[in-house]
Amino acid sequence: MKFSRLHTFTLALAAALFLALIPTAHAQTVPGTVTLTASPTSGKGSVPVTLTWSTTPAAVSCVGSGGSADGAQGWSGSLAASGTFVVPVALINSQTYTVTCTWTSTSAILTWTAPTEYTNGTPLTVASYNVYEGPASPPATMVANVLAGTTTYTATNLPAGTNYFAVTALDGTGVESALSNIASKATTQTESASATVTVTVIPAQPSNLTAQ
Amino acid sequence: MWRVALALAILCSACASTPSAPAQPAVTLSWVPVTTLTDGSALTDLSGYVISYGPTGATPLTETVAAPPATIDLAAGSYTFSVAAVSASHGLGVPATITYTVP
Repeated sequence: MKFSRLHTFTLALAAALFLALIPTAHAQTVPGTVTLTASPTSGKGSVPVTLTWSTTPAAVSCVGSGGSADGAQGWSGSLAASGTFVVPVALINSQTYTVTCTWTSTSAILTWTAPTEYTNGTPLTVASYNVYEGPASPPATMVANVLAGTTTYTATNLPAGTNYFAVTALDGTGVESALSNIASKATTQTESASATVTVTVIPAQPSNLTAQ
Repeated sequence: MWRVALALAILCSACASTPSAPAQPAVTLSWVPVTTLTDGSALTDLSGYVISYGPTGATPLTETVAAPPATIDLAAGSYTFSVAAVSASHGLGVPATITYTVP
């Protein structure tokens, strides 16, 4: 139920710069969790069902789905971050319902691994790293210069959508490596949870029962 | 001849006027046979109907019949009857209930 998006990449270097950089970046872990329960989870014949969902932290929005082709048993449409839904008709067949919730996060944590040598194999002492960010790949805007010894950067106030990140290494003379490969992270993330109600089919009710 | 005719007439009228023995109180339950399952598909292996009945609040008695109608001998009183189809593969069905006072 938790996101963990790991971006691992190997830097391609411009040979002319003689700087090697092998960063490993991964995006922030967002603790978005959604749960969905159906009550009851099973029954015979005709089963009235209530669905209950919740999100932690509260999602921006959720969408319900599932149920059969019979619209009255279906679940659809936008939902709040938590709530209950009573299926309009009692189920006569087993059904699975799913709630998909969306969170937004305007920050991302970028990490990478320090390079140790130039492209020609000679030892390298990194002086600093430039961090690039942008809404397209490759990212064009340098947003930070991080001193050697630190191999992480937290990007904040990200615009909605997918943001791209890359780093370069600089040596003591200011020679900059080529961009690392590109890490990306979407500001919108989704998680889903499902619940199944098992209905046992039994003979129908006798009709027109009379006594005399 | 006259006497015989008269005697027969007397006998006949006596016979007709003799009160019959009190009938055992009973109830006859009728219902439309069940042909489908709760999901609307056909019930193809009906094995009969289970009738459970009893005075309100008492442990019900059960009786199994192959098809409607069903006649049950009972003492006078108020009873609740429940009738459910039984399928060999799907088990006991949804019951229909009715309350009836046996005179």
